[in-house]
Amino acid sequence: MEVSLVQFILLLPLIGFLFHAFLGGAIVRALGAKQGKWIIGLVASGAALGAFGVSAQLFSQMMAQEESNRSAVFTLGSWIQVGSLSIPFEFIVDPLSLMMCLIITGIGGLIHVYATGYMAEEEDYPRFFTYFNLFLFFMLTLVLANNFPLMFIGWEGVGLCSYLLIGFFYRNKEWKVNTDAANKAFIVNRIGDFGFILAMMMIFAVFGTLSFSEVGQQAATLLSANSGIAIAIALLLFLAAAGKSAQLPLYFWLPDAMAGPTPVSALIHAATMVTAGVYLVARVHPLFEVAPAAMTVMAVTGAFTAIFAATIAVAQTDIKKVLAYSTVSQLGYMFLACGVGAFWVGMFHVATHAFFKALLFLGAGSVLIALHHQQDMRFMGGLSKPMRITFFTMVVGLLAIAGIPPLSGFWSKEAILIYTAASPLNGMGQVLFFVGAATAFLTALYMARMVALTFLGKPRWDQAPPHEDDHHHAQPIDESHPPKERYWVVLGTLVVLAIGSIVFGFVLPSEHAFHDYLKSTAEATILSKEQLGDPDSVRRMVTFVALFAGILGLFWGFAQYIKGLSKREAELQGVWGWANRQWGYDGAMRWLGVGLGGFIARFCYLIIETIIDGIVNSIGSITGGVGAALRYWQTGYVRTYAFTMLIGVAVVLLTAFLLGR
Amino acid sequence: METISFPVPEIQFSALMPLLMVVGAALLVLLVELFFPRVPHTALSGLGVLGLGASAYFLMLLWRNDIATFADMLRSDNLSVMFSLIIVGATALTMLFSEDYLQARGIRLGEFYPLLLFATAGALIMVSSTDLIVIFLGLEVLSLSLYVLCGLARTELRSEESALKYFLLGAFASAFLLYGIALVYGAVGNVDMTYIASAWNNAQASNNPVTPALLIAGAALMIVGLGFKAALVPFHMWTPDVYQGAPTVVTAYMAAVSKVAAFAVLARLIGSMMPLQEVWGPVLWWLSALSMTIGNLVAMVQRDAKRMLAYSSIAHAGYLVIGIVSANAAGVAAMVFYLVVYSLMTIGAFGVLSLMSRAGDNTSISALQGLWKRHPFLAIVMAVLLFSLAGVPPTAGFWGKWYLFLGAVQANQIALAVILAVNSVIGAYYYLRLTLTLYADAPGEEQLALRAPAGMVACLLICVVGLIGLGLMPTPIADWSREAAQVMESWLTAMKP
Repeated sequence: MEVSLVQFILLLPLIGFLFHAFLGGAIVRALGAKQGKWIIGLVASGAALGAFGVSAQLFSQMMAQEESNRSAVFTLGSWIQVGSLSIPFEFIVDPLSLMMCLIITGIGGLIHVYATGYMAEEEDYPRFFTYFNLFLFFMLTLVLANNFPLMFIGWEGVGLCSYLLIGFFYRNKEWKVNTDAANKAFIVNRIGDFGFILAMMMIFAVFGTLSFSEVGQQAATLLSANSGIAIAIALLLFLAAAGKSAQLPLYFWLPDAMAGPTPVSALIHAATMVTAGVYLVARVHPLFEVAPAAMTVMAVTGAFTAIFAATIAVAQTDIKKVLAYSTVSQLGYMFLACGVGAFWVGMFHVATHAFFKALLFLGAGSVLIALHHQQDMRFMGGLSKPMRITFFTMVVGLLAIAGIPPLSGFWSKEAILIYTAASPLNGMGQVLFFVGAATAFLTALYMARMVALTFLGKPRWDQAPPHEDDHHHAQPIDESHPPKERYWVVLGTLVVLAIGSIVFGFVLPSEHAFHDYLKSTAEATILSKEQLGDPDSVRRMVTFVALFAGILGLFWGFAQYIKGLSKREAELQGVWGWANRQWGYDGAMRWLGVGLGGFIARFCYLIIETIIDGIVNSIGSITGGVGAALRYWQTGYVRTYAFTMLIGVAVVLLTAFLLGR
Repeated sequence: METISFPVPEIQFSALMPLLMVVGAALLVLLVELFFPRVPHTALSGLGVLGLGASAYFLMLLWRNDIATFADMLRSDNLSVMFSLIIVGATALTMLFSEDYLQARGIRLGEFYPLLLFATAGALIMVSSTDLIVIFLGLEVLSLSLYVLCGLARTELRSEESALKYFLLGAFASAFLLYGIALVYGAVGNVDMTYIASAWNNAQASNNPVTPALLIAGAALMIVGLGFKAALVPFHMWTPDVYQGAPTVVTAYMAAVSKVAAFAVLARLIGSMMPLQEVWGPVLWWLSALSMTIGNLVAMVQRDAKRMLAYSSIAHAGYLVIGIVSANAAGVAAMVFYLVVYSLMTIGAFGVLSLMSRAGDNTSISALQGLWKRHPFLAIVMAVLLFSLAGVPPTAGFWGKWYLFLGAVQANQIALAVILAVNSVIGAYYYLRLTLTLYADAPGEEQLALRAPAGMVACLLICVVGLIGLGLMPTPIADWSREAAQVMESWLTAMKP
């Protein structure tokens, strides 16, 4: 295969970014808002879809190869060369990275197209697409990198774009929530990045290299004897993954991140960036396999995050918040799969989740357009009539995420539960399976709740309190002006994604196709069959339980919520309030980080101010004094200078003679 | 009558072409100036840059070709090509912004360009020879041109003072250098420095060792002479006065080019005196430590930016000596790399100051206050340059210091490495303080209009892009430096006793 094509995958979004950054504003000014925005949208989407085309081309070339021959590395040039440390700009092309490329550029391209409609009234249109294309570039760098530092560039780059896009509406001073959310996301992610850097250093110390291919090959030999270091590396990497992929204890930035525009939530905070942690784990899975204890931690964390976030999602009233907690929950599933050693299943769920979660977010975005950015589901209802296309596509997304066959979500969720149930995992496999099954029930429940509250029952959107947003709409929504679907690009994207969700489900009649595809890259290689368990022994039981949980959740959800919320639930009383406020977790973290952390910081500052500054300042004034004294020697007279030189010559000569004797 | 047979040495003109291009351009500019006095001076500087470009082209052809010609008086190896390229590049950068500066300062003298090119020719001769007499010739060509250039602002007292001081002290230093060469000739019987090592070894090996006093004294005096050119403490006293008084373009040129030339000769000289390491090692160690420390300490208390940079250039000379003291290929490679970086930083920094000084000849630090508000472009450029001077990543200054540090550690010169680190902190203090002045303070009362002409902008962009580019990707230049330093390595290993 022509592995050099990989540079074009990266180049196209980069060109798009540079184009918008340097010419975007000028184009809008020169051609007027309408045409200028049209050109910018075209270039941005073209860059993304062009990269998709190249990825698809590379994909077809790769699939034509023998199975053992599908991995190749493309080196663009050397980057850092210090001593024995050699870090080139090297990109890996294999089933795993190309799968991510296809998701990022394919779904990303569709979301770009969607955003040309969704953001159409936004003044800062070029800025939005500047960040959006830059995000694609960094995300592709992240998944294509073949060494840790290069991946870290992408890792930090997507973090930066996430920050910029969450705070996209920073100009609106009343919406301080945007900038606060952006800061929160950035700061919480620092903790994960800290883990990444420490893991990187330890890996270099142990392996002497930072290249993925070499680390993967040598993990078994170098780390199996040294389980302490193996566990430390794996846990630090998992900390990094937990930060980026919003797992406990670091998940709490993601719900706030919904402050960004909806296409951002769909692309960055659902389909791609937040799956980077899962990708990292799958990419370096040998490092986890040599540390079974860390894998247990990962599985338990994932399962607990999944059910924890699902319970919170049930009590949300904001449509985007439901989807945000749902994302956290689904990411928990992915880590559960990785934790029981089925890394490829984790990636399988990444792929299916990208489809249906993007679809659900974009559908929610379509609702928000119609309701003038009213996000509260208590003031929706009955939208299935005026918003027919959105409704039907959302139902497809709902069935997919609830795990109803033959839609895509069913296959991946079933696979996760099968491998969890089969895994011995110190006797915890069964427990985690029941947690997972309960989560499947809750998933179906809260998603049915969301669809019911939004689209079914009596319309409540005319009861909404007067609502200020960035745009000045000519018409308020009332009886004579019902909400309506707008922008054909928005609806077209929804239809394409819905068809994708369905077709994807038919293409994968079981998990085998995916397993065979990812066999060489994401299948456990070090763990033995006994450690992984036998999936076929539990397959039938799990399929039944998963299906039952999903259907039960759907029925319960529709039956309960088709009439709207009960008063108690709508006013968030009692347990609903607790669940709505993340069971107090966010508050505790705020107290811990902002309160306690602030106190410690002030204490440290006091010490620095008095003791350390005192020492530094006195050293400074002494040095300054010496300098000032030396300055007096600089008289300005040539005779002084010549004399100084002469002394220097005498001393040099004398020293030389004494030494040379 | 019998004709005296005069052996005509073989001449390979390819090795001579870079030099011929520079001298040819100088002569051409002189003639054009003579016959067409009305030609705009930008054309003269353009001619000069063309000549330098041609010279650079021929230099690149010489890369990886070892040539010794003119009876071995002229050597062209990777080391000399690398140094020559730095010199030619630095000269071209200076030329880019000099015409505008000279106009603004009222120095309308077309002689500036030929003089600059002659000085460059001298520097090129210095770096591409191992023959001590030829080196001395090159040094004098460089110095004489510089004396005149320093006093080019004839109506200004400070410029005149600078020229006179430089001349008097330079003559003093040249005398030491020449005396050193004479003594070495007396000891070795040859003016080519490559013979020094064998002479020393023979003296050591013979049963009746001749006291190599002549050799030791000669070596010490040559170090003094070169130390003056490189502005090492205690031969640095001229630097602040001359740098401050000279027209700023000349200062930029002097700070970069004459330092490169001096260090090139010093590196070769030390390489050829490898067996004498016990003699020059400690001497250079002290010169390095003193230059770093005194340069930085005094720079810290300066109130004039130009003078501060002069002292900081003394400190940088001290850093550069570390590469020589390390006496290994890594050290020399680090020195070559640092010279590239240093030239970019220094020319850029003096370039920015040249804009300040034309506006009323005021280069005090307070005149830079609030530059961000007055001219954001210049403020950003200056910040990058200062960050690089301080050695903050991702600028090239960081890698320069890092490679020097590594070389010193590899050579087991831990103490020197520590002194380098401590001095980097002192340096960071005054560079960052100056950076803060650019941004934090409100502009002073003096609100002179600043404008950056095209040549200046081009020069500054080259410096800044180069520094950041090298900071992100140091490998290409570092590799070239390493390859150039391999010339030294073969000497160093061959001559170790």
